[in-house]
Amino acid sequence: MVLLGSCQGGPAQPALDDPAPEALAPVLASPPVPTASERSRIAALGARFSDTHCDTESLGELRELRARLGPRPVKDALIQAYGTCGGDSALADLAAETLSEPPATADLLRLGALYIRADRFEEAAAVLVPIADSPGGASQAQWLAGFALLHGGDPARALPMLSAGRAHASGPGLSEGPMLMGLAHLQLGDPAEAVRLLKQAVALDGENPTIVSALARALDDAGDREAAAEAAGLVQALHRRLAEKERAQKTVAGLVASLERAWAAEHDAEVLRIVERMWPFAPALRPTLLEYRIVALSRLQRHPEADAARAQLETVRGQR
Amino acid sequence: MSPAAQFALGPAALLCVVLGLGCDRRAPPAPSLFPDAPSTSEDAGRTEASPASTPAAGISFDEVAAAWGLAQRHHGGRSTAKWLPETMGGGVGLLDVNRDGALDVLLVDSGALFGQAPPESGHRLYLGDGQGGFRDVTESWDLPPRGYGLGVAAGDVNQDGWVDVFLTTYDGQDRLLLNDGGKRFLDVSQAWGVPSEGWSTSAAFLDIDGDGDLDLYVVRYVAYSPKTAIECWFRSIHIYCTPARYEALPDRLLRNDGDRFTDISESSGVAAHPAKGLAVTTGDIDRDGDTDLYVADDISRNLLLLNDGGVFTEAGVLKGVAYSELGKEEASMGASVTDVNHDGQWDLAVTNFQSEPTSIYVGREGGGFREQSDKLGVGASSRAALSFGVEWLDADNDGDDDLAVANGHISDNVATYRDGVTTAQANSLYRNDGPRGFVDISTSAGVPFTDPAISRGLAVGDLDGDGGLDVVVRNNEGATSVAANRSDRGHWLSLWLEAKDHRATVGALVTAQIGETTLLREVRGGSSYLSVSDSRVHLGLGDATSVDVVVRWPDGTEQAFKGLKADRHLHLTQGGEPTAYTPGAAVIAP
Repeated sequence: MVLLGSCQGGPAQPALDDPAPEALAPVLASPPVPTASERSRIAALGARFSDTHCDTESLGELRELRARLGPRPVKDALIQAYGTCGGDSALADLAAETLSEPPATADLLRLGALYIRADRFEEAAAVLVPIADSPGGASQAQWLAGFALLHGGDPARALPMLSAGRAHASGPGLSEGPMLMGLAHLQLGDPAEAVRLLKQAVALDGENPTIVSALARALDDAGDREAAAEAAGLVQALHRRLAEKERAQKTVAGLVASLERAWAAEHDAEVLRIVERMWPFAPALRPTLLEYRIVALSRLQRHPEADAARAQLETVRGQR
Repeated sequence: MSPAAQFALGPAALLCVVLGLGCDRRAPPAPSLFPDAPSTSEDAGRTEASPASTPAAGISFDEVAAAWGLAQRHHGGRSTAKWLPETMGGGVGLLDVNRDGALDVLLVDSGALFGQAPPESGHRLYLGDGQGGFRDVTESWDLPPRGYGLGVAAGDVNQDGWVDVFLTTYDGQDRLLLNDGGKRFLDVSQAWGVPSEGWSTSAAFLDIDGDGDLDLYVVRYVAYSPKTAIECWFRSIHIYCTPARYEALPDRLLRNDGDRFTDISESSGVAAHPAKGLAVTTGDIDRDGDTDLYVADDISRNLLLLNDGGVFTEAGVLKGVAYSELGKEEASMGASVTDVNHDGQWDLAVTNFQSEPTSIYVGREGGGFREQSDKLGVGASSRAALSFGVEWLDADNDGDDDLAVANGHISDNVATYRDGVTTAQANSLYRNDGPRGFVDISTSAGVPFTDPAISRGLAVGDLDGDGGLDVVVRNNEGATSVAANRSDRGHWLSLWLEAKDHRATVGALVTAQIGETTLLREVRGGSSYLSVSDSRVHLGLGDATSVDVVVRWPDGTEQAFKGLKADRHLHLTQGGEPTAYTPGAAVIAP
């Protein structure tokens, strides 16, 4: 792998049984340089992706352009596309394919982070550990390398890196630092140290079910069954609360999408039905929902109800 | 400005800003050095990774579904509205309904949520001849075409020696079918008090109270009806909804009172843990002599229900099997249990969503587990697939269990918006290399593990009686796959256990000593996803040509069988002598 070759001190040497250079000519041939109209087309395609719209047709066209021109000319547009449509793994692949030669350390760090985000921890560790291990390795690289190693199932190697890089942890009060180190100790069979660190993490972020569940397991391992059971109960309550929140969020998000479609199609009866469904879930959106209701009722010639909605809107606005 | 323009921020952003809702419940939080690209919302936490397979030799399978007459398609009634249940079915059961020693195959079909299901749809029962020949006997066995079918469980619920069947449905039409002397099924759902509402997925038979009869655990999913459900979009793409939108249903526990079930979900403690359940496996997880349950739940914590005299305590969080190793709720789909490393502790395989690993929870002394999918070589490649059915099987009869996984995405248009992810996916096979962990040998294991499909239910059994475990996979809206085992294999022994007076055999523990290695196997009452594998115990013996076996029957008595010769199908009855049989040759009367 070229990337690893460079990380480990220069490009990989050809093996003895590599094919003759001429056989590689078609592979190594530079991709065609995009024309001005292709560049403009690529930019236009990239602009079609927004927070609300994943344009699958444009993505398909970008894939074709990538196949023809190589990844570099379409990189920015694809980042836009993957950012909208999802595709953390594709984003990491794109970053790996478009690394400069030799790659800058900052780009490798970014690539490692992208691999982590795509849950590709082995590849993340392969990129990040050499940076973290290098003389004067950045503590950010150490943190990320530790993160990747721990998630990849190697707590022993992860622990010193997490410790050295903990200033880069996230979460309230950098709570992720003691949390991950506690988890590493738990995996390494040191529940007492795990409990100590995880209690630190809980003190910083007691609402994080990940931290509390780790503490519950550590307490159980340490033999403190009563405290473990209490922590386990708290974890369940936290997850229940989060699930409720998520359910509300997903429900309203889905209804918003349905409302947009019904509105665009001028299906006013459907608009009214969706507004009705959204009402209890989204108190903060009620003025907007009332505007929908007023317009839909007016278009349906249900004027008295529209007037009532207008009055209700005035009241709601007055309350705010 | 139109009112709609006020949503220009996008639904997710709008909700975050206006409602102050949590917009990312993934945990632990990602490292802070991330590019600017936003993460997804509708399917946050559901991303993809790349495969990492390694070629291997020795284990291979042929696709024989058509040749063996088992290629019946699953019908899900997919609609343009994309209703959630359409992506879920179906299951497969491997059982011996006529006691001739040959495995029979029950394929669960779904049908249609609305309107008329296609005439060719419906459950199918095939009688096996023990050599790979199958005959469709659906009509003569009166297999009812009721409900939108999903899963199957099997067990002798009325203790007459003939295996009975429980069928789960999305639409509250679960059926209990009694086996009438190996001739047909009788639908006794009403007489036995089978509840008739809610979305059931997998089910398992087990004896919860040690009274010798089989009780029934029914896994349930979410409160959902297409009549009230809303269609879902992800950034203007019409998709199948996430179950996060729906309320979890509590599972059900039905106690067998001889001629009917009594719902004891509340009093047994089971109902206290509503989750979005999809799979269940049985086993004496805490090794105290009774049968416990592990339930795999979609985007909820998984449950470890420890049995204490028919009352269950949930211990998943404490024992480390509720979440990922780092405490994240995963979208779990299937589960299977074995002793993968011969240390006398049960280990679990749990399948999960794309970008989540197939978790391998390795049991430890004291009852706890450590999730070690990455350390054991399963993590990276399993993250590249969305996995459902799962079973441990000793594919090469070398004495350790390998792992088969059924894969297939839930989104039928994922390839249009997600680079590198497809709806149809190849199934996975991992070879157990002992202390070195697992090797993904899918690409070299034959067509059943390279042809992509939307795979769901998976079950394992020796369909052709040749001593090699075969794999049957039910593909959503596709033909059934039957993977016939053609591997270079070691010696083997197949044990059909029957307890005294047809008391429950689920939970019977088999210990076999082969040199320094102790094989530990248990008769399961449920496993995988929507499916039931052959309940006979299959022992891979490697080079050994005979073996000493000890059976601990569910009533606690132990029986030793010395010097059992390899490469035979044996019928072991409690207190009796082992009898060799040839699958399909003759009915073995109860």
